Amino acid sequence: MTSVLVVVAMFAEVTSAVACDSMVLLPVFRYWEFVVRSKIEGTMRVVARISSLLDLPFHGFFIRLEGDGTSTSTSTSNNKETYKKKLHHRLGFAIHGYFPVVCLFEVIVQRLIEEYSSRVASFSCRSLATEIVPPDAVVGVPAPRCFHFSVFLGVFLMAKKRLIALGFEGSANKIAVGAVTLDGCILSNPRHTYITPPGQGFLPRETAQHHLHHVLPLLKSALAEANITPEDIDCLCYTKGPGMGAPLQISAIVIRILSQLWKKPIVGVNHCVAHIEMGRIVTGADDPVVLYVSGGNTQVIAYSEGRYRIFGETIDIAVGNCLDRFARVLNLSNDPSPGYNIEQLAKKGDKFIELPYVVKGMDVSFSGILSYIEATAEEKLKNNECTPADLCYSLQETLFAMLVEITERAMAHCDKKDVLIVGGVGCNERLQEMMRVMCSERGGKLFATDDRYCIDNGAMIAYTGLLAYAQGQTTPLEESTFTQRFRTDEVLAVWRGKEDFKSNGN
Amino acid sequence: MATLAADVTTGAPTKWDFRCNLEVDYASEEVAHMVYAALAVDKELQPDKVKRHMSVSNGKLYVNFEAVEARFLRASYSAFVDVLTLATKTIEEFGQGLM
Repeated sequence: MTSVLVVVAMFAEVTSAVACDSMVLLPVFRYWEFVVRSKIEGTMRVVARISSLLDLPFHGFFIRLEGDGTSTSTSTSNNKETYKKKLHHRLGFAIHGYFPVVCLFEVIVQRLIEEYSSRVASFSCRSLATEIVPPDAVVGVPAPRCFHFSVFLGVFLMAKKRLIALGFEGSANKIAVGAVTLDGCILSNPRHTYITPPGQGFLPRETAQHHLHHVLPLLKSALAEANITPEDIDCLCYTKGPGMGAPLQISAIVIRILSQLWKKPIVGVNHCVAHIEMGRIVTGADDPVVLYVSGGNTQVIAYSEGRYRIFGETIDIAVGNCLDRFARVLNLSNDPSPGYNIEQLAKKGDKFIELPYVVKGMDVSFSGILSYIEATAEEKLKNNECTPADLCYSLQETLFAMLVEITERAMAHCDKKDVLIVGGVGCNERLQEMMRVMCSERGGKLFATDDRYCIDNGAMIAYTGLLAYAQGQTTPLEESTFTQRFRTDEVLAVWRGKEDFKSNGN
Repeated sequence: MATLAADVTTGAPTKWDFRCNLEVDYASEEVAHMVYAALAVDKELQPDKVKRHMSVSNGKLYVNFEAVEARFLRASYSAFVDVLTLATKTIEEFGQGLM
């Protein structure tokens, strides 16, 4: 699925173990294995040269057993007669006690496959011994006189058609459309944020109206900026959840219409997973502990056994929500975002005001801190005990210390050294600084991105959808629903399974 | 797009007292089906309070709402018209000559 066009297919018959007596088979097989090995090496060298000459990536390589016990047939045809003949010979082995011969042969081939699989993207093997023989074929089978095995080497070079995905994000107060390719190249990533007046938050209905108004112009500019036409697009991705219902619906509706107009498949994407994958491709972090902090989510996540597992999370409101709501208390501007304005103000603060510190095991809680600071802020400001800057500073220090603590605990649990911060709050430089200190103390590295990728965007949806699409996953139109609740660990990260396989081979 | 009729009847003895019909003439079976398919995916959020039935014929999309209270009817109808407009606009702008 990652590539569609077979440009060069080279087949080499690497043969032959011929023996008329099972007693001499072992040395014959040894010799045969040596021949196969050198043939594979030779073929790989040729392929590497062709690959670099044509500038085509090396995609696949397979070993296929064509051995059937006959000395004549190396045919690949599905002709019934040929098949029957093959069947008889195979049965001949089995019935006349030569079954171990087949097994031995397979063991060698299996070994070769294991050895070479680390160097190639995919391979296939047709197994002899596992094929089922119908019982009526047993009658009158002669003992084989000689054995002939051959191996076919196939090498694929793929002309990689650049897979392109278009992604729609609209789970909160940003509507965004992005176009990306599978290698993570971002072709365009425009977005528009619904900014409410100071002191006010964004409500589902008004936010949906905002998205409604901006989604089509954004789509136009995303296509124009990426310089692509609908024909170039391979799949249409949208945020399935989690998020606010009404805003989520906007992306879903547009994608359903476009899918029918352009005849392109749909891929539903989990918003949280999209943040993680975007963070990984942008920073190059391979297998970090992920701290996902935004206005709607606060989770400490690590990948294990096919899923992004949540090790710790908020038990009430998200850290971004706590910051945003405190910004309303101070009547800070929501432009570009309340969190950004708190961060700027906090730089001027120097007096630390003690706030509740609420870590419960692996989890955190922010609502009590918010209530406390909301109640005391007015009082303290009135009595000139502190400045708004001091409050911002103290709130940030407290909240971020809690986040660093649970992240560190997750790192100890799953024995990982690196941390990746994603989500809107992730572009806070103070949080990054605190996390960096913790990581360096543990001998790890901090990976973080700036506001282009941290904050909700269309490219992250497109990229994550494309990862799933490349593994053959799509969402039928009738199932292209949206959902307010959609946990990170509900998604089977099939594309990561492939990475595991590759790294295990190395 | 033309909205032809929206009539609200009250006073009937059944539970689903509040009804409303919407008829949109796309003058194209294909377009009407496209909009139908896109909007049919999302079910009504409170099926015990609002029912929505949709059908397509002769290039027209017919939508029928039934609700137990006027406010549910209003909310459902208004939200539906928003997404219907969005779907129609998307076809208008990206459907190259379909409409």
